[in-house]
Amino acid sequence: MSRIVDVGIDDTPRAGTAPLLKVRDLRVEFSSSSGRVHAVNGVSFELEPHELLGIVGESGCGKSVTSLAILRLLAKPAGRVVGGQVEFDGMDLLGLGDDEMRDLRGRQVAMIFQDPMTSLNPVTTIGEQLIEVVQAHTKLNRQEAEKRALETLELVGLPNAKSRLKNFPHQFSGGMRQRVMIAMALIMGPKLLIADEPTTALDVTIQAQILDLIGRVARETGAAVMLITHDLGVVAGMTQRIQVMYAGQIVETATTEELFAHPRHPYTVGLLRSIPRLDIGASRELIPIEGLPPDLTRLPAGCPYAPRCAWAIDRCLVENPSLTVPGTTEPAEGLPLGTHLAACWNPATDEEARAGMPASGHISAVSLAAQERAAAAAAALGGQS
Amino acid sequence: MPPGTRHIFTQQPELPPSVLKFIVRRLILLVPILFGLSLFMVVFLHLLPGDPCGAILGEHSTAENLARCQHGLGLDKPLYQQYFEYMSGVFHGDFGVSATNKVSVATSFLTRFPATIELAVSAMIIAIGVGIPLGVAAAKRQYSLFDNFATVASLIGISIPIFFLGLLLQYVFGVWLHWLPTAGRYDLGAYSYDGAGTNFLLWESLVIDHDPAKFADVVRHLILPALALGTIPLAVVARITRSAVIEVLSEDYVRTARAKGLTSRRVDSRHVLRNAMLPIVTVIGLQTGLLLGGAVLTEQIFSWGGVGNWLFQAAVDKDFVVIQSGALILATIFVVVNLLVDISYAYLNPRIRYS
Repeated sequence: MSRIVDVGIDDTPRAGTAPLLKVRDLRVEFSSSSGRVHAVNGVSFELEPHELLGIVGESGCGKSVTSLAILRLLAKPAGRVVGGQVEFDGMDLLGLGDDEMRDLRGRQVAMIFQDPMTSLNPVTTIGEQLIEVVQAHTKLNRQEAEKRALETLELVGLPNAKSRLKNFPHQFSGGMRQRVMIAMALIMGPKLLIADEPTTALDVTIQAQILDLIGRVARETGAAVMLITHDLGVVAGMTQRIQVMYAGQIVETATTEELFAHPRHPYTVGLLRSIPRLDIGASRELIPIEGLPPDLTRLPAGCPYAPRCAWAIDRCLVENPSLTVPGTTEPAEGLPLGTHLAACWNPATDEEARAGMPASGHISAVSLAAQERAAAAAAALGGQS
Repeated sequence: MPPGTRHIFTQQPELPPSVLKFIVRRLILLVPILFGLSLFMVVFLHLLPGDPCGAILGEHSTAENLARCQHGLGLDKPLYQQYFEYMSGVFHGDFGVSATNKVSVATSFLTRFPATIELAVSAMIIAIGVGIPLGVAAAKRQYSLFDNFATVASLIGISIPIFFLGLLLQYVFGVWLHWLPTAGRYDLGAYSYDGAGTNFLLWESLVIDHDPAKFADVVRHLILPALALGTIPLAVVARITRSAVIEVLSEDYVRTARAKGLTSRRVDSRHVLRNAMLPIVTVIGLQTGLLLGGAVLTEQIFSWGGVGNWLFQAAVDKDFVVIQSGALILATIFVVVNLLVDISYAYLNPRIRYS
């Protein structure tokens, strides 16, 4: 099986800062009753200190699993890393001793989870839950730890922080709980903050507040952020760079502006066309991506997106493309961070991306079938393109 | 938070007034429970053929003697009157007198209850002390060889009848290996006990008599009956602990706790076990009640001079007053134990409101 990335080892120092996080060819599998699930299939990326990186994809595309694998928090014994390397601040995380890894969690790499309703322990006070982080990593006594907890709660804008320390999670609203989660993640001043769908479970009115908060505290504390979401709209205003994931692979990466202006991978095009936008007006319909992601227990030989792709050509069905500069075969190695890369044999042009479909001319039987399905769906919706 | 949904525990260990109200309400609820139970007992005991006089006088007694005996015990009065007289006694703290040996029920109960408490508490200590660690260990190694072994052992423990287990233990450890005594609470040949003290023999031998050898003897006598009585609750507690811990282990907040960099011991004790405790405590409360029933069999097998043994004899003798009063007292204890369990919920789970 040809795999997406074999970036090789780039040991030549990059101009500027050394990367904080370096993930190379990460592969994660889960054993399940229906077979081995290939959840992450050769993911490689880097993250610089203080950088805000967005990771976008549908549920089940491996974005959360990637972050859990970095922290070595995969559900045992079902999930395991079967290949690749994770380097954080010069340390090989996959080879680190259990106790060193434990100390690194929460202190250097912290995580915010999706659902603040279920991610806090319901039977202990939030003060206790904050203080225990400090006590797990420092020798500070209780008063000092409590002071630290208070400062952090104030940093995340929790009103009446002092009296709130004695409260239990059920005494907070969802947005307030997520602030507590953020405080818990930031209390040790981590270098990397992984936010896994931090706003998905929240009211729309609260989402923007929480995103602003994450952006602000990251700036204030100097933490780099990996913002994982299924919603391109969430990352648009916040991140410097975006990686789009599909079926456990990175299919496109670019700076945020570039990605929105010139999407190259048909999947990214599809994602962009499925975001509601007020600026374009009601005339534009939301266009769903037809079909479902592939069964991760039986990955196709070719590009995993090919069966849903209007751009698919014959080659897509037999050979999985790796990340290259779009339209070339120039490999990704050694290119500066932020270079626009896509894993696609037949990337979309700007006009095609705007139209949401390939210009006729190089439409294969595969993409014809896909187009027919799309047309049928459009007809069913009573629309016209 | 809207008014009216304010939860009781804003500060932990103080007992807020709503909990006191809850306790009082539950104790008041005890009154109809005991009334119902006493009525039920009286009616059904009298529906059964025979009465204490049959047991006292034997099979071949004359009709006159039987009538005289029944008159003496008040059994010839109408049932409602017997019930009324019995209940008015109970409300004055008089639980009646045994028809067979003329000893007051309260006295018999108080001298025998310590033996049952010693047995039941020991059984529960074994059940909790072994059952919870076993359940946690099995949960953390789900589907491992150890877990499968623990599952099979628990199922055997749950399904084995107490009388059979008791006889088996007696045979193996008493008759065969000669390791432990099989009957009584202490060695009658070596020690004597006049019954003047509290009848808590562990306490008496160690603290009052300062006699370590006697204490050891009492402990040795306690081991087999406590094992026989504790096995079912042990197995039940282990099973419940296992499933509760497995459920909690997959909770998001356990993942959060790990992501915070806590040691696995802290994750287990503070986050996993504290949340898993609710169902475990419920089961412990119910099992404590069932233990009182199990004690009847165990005490009979091990000649343990406790309440169970006494009630069993009363049932054989159709000693109505003893059976009624004994059942009322045990029912009260059962209700109080479960009340304690419910109160402990408040400490374990701050989301519970007592209303």
